[in-house]
Amino acid sequence: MTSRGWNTADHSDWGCDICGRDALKRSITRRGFMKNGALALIGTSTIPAFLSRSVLAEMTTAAANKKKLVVLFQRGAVDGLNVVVPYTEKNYYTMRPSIAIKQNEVIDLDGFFGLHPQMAPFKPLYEQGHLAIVHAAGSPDPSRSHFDAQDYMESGTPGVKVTEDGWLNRALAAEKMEGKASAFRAVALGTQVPRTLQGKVPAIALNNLADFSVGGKGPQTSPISNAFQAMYDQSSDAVLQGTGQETFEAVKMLKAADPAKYQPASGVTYPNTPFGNSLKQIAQLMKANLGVEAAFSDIGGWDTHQNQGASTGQLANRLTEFSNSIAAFWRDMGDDAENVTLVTMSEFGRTARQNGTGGTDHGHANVMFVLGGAVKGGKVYGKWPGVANEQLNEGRDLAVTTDFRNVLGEAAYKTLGSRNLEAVFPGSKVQPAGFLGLMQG
Amino acid sequence: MRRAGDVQGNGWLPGMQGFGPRGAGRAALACLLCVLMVDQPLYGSVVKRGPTAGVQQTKGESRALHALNRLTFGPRPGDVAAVQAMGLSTWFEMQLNPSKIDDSALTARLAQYPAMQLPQQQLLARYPTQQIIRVMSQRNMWLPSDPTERAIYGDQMAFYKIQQTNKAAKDAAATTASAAGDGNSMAAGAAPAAVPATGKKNAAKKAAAAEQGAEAAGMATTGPADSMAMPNYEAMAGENGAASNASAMLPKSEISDTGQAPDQHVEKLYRDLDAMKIINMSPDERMRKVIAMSPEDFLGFRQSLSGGELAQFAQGLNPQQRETFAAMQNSTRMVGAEEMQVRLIRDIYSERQLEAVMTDFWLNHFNVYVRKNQNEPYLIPSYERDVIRPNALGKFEDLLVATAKSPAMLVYLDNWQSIGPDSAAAKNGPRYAAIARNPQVKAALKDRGLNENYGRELMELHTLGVNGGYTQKDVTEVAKVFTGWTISQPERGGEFQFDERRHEQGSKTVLGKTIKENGMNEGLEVLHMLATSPATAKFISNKLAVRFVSDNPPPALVDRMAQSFLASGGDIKKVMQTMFDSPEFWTPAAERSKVKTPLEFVVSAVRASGATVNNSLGLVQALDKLGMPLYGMQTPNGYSWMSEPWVSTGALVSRMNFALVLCGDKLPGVRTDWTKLLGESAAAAGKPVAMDSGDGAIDPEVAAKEKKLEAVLLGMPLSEKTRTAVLSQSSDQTAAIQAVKEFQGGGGRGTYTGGPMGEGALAFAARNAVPDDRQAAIMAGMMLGSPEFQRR
Repeated sequence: MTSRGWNTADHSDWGCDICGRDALKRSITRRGFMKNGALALIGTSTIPAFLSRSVLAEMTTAAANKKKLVVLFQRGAVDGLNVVVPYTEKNYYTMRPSIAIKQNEVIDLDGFFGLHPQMAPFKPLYEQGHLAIVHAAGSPDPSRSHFDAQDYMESGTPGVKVTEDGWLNRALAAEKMEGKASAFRAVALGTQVPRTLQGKVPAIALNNLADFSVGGKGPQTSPISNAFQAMYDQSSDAVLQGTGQETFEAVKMLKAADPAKYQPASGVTYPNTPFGNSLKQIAQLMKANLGVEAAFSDIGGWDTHQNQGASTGQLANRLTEFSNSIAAFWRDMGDDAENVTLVTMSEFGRTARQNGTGGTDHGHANVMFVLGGAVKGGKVYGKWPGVANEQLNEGRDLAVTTDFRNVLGEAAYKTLGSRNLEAVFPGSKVQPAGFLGLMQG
Repeated sequence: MRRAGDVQGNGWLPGMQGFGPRGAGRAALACLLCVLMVDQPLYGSVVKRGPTAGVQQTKGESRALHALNRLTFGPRPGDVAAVQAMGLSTWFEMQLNPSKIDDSALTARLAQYPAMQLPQQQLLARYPTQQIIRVMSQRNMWLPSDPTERAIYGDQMAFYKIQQTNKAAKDAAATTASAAGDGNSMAAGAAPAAVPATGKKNAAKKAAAAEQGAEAAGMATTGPADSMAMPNYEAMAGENGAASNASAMLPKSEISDTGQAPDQHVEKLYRDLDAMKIINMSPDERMRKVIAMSPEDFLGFRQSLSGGELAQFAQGLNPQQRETFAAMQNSTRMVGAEEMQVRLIRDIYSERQLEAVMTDFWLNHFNVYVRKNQNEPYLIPSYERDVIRPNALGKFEDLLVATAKSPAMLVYLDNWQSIGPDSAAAKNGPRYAAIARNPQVKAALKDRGLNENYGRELMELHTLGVNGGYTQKDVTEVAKVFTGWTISQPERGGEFQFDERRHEQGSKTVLGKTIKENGMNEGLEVLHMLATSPATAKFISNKLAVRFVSDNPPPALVDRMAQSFLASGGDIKKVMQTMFDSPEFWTPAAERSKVKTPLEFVVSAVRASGATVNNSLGLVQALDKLGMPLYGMQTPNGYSWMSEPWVSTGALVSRMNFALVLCGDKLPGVRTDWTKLLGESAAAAGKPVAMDSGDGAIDPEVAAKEKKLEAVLLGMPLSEKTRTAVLSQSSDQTAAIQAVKEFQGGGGRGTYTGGPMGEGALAFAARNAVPDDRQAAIMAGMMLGSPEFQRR
């Protein structure tokens, strides 16, 4: 298995030609359909209901940005080399004698890369052109500390510890806004507001829509909830007062919208796991029109130092949950998926070589997924640095060729309309001219 | 939306043994109240210490309150006065020397959990892991000869076999279902049912998949094996309400499923049994009877009991008998649940509060994760009891060495499997691999070697801090140094051992220093180097200051503490004394500047309310809901001590609901006594909290009650707005009942955890419980949910 010569050269669009074979399939995606013909069909009975609805909505509220950005963090450093496998790289197999994904097991993407078999739910999304992959993405900071690296990725300022807010919060702040923002504009599924969403723009965290209520369910807030609200509204404790206000506003909105009635679209089953439930609830919130613009969730369990397995095993189990949850979310969103962009990230990759306990240690570059209506998918983006011994970062890890901020920047710019990228990623030099072209717009 | 089957089997469970002696601990409380009643003028009695000139200092009663807020899990009624009576510095000195404080009331409570006192190997031998049960079942191994142990092993093995049989049947059915388009089920989160799943095909399939996952994830009895129980992690990891840590360990299972038709196999069996006859026997006879039952009969018997009957069955059993009964159903759950319950009991009731707080601090600093693998729950009792607590106020180096050698840490950060790439063991690997049967073991043997996990976290998180000046090269070298630090007989809960054959030969270079080849001493040398490094002194001092003083502690204070650390050879007591003596600790700005973590919130609420905790399981579950499951932090950095992560919309909602549930007696196993509390505080109200004004519309009696509650629960006046809000709800009697629904995640059966014993009964009691003074209960609930109470 020889390398094809181009994988070491600068081919920022490598994989493109090979992926071009799915061009036909791509043209019949919802997006393609809408772009090319849907408008012309308005008013006729031949237009599917879901399309007329979204198109009409787009026409009447053209000014309002209905786009939504979903950010998913794989905490613990997922082993990207085993998720999107460079299966023609000889050294990949040499370095991973017992954990490599065999050539006959990968789901081929473009003749060079293949998905881990447990990522099968991503294959149709890729083929339909909704899913783009960026390989060898990562942080310019060399830290192999989970916590520093996560912090840098979430703050969006690698190497700078004093940054107080998260990049996604700044991206929202950099967006042109009119009118009062919804309490649900920035929402995290979980018990805490993640670093990514911390900052000036109010962000809420909630674990479970079903019990996000004080002292009683029902369509009305309970008297005790109102009393607590009065208590917090007027507290001199600035931190708790602020959060309290957001809390009670969200409680009220949620009661009014009753997202519980937005059950998954027929035929869609989310994995019954916290991550699956998080995505299900993000879909509920979005479908309930609560004004969600940015949503965040995370999934742990990627720190596979030991016995990570290959096509089955520990990592495989995590990937099953990961890919099924995201694919379910995509299907569940139905026609509104057109307005969604979903990005995944992880703090760093793992060592190219397997370690002494059937796992991998902390490495450097990793793989990111970008899924969405405006995504130019069906392609693996980025420059492949190669995994020959001399190509490895510090002789041990996949080298970073795409700054993760470039990917996030494009997603924020084209989804949220965050034009001031210097504010979102200070000092990064991320500019539209340097985007990978992952998305339309 | 957890399914019934999810939490069985490998899951965990709450044994629920904890009917502590009602009134134990009352003595201590009464004692303090006596002191309180003496009510002496203590205002000026606190001696100012240290270089306080120029820095404004907290004075008088608030000084004692501040100390209790920071150095304990929060004051109980009367504690402030007691500390003042004793004198703050005397009190602190006593707290620094916990062995001098009588803690017999706590000891009596903990006697309810005898398993938690067993040495590690005995614990594991008597209450086997599910892995052992599985292996023994598969190999048809002999049962222990002791009748009780025989029942504990035999019943679980029988359940395992029934489960396998059912699984095979359901698998077949599920395959059909899958072909029909239901192909989306996931392994994650689901643990197999110990009892035949009665539900949907889908559930059975999930259980089957989870079982496979758990199988792969379990700690093998020989050789290296997967030790991360990943498929089960998420179910415990604390999201989405019901599926959070301990809750997932809690049984919903058989009892809450009684609405459904039980498996035929079981149905036939328990029809033949007269459960009531057994319940009516004497406790010893009862136990003899169930121990003598065949596993099938036992299963049927257990399933036939309602919650109330379960409580009757538990009545009068001694602690060992209760543990046995729980373990006969799932010993791992019993162990996992008890270690969490015991931790809360200690935090709530120990008179050695500083020791408890420091134990919490170090358990978080040297974090381990209960779901790491199936053995980890068995390693945690000893970790808390023998490694962390005895060293919590000792020398840092002793603590560091103890953690380095602890099986809990060796497993958690994988060091027990790390092998020198050029060691004798590595060279033999291929030879063993050739004869290994299991392909996974084979692969692992062939390629085994170094694992950097411990080496990195040791420096980054345990000692130097991430900016402590080490490099990737240092990480690798430290990893080599610690090769051979492993566990003897890991599958049996064995202790630390140094295995020369696994140790990397040759000298190493760590932080520029050459570590000469010296076997295990290399590790000790590195630990000494790290423990005595100025970077470590600073890192630890800063973390302590963040915990005890402020989110952004003054650098001068941290420097002073670090100096004290270095000068005393890492004496934690000295560092704490320096902090206590520093003006920065006592500035009014520091008062109530820390937001309580969920653990601090829950424990301080229980302490403040004077509630009696007969069983802490409900509190363990509450912590899941609040986002801080005990031993549930998966990553080695532990939970944050900063305010920000704990102040979120969802967290606030849960805190308010918890406060209402606790005060309304809707939390299983926890009982308030407002009449008594208010009565005592009336007698003791020497210094009532000043109230600015009374609302004309409020009944003076209610206003007076409210005032007393403020004094008792917060020890300081509430803001006028908070008070108005509290008073406005003084007549709302339904809130607690409503809140319990919220807090339990809205499941129909709510608190009904249906565990091996006790929970059912407790939940039953909680549903029917009415606080003795509803008005006090609702006002107290509002106070504990107020912004004021979220800070310490």
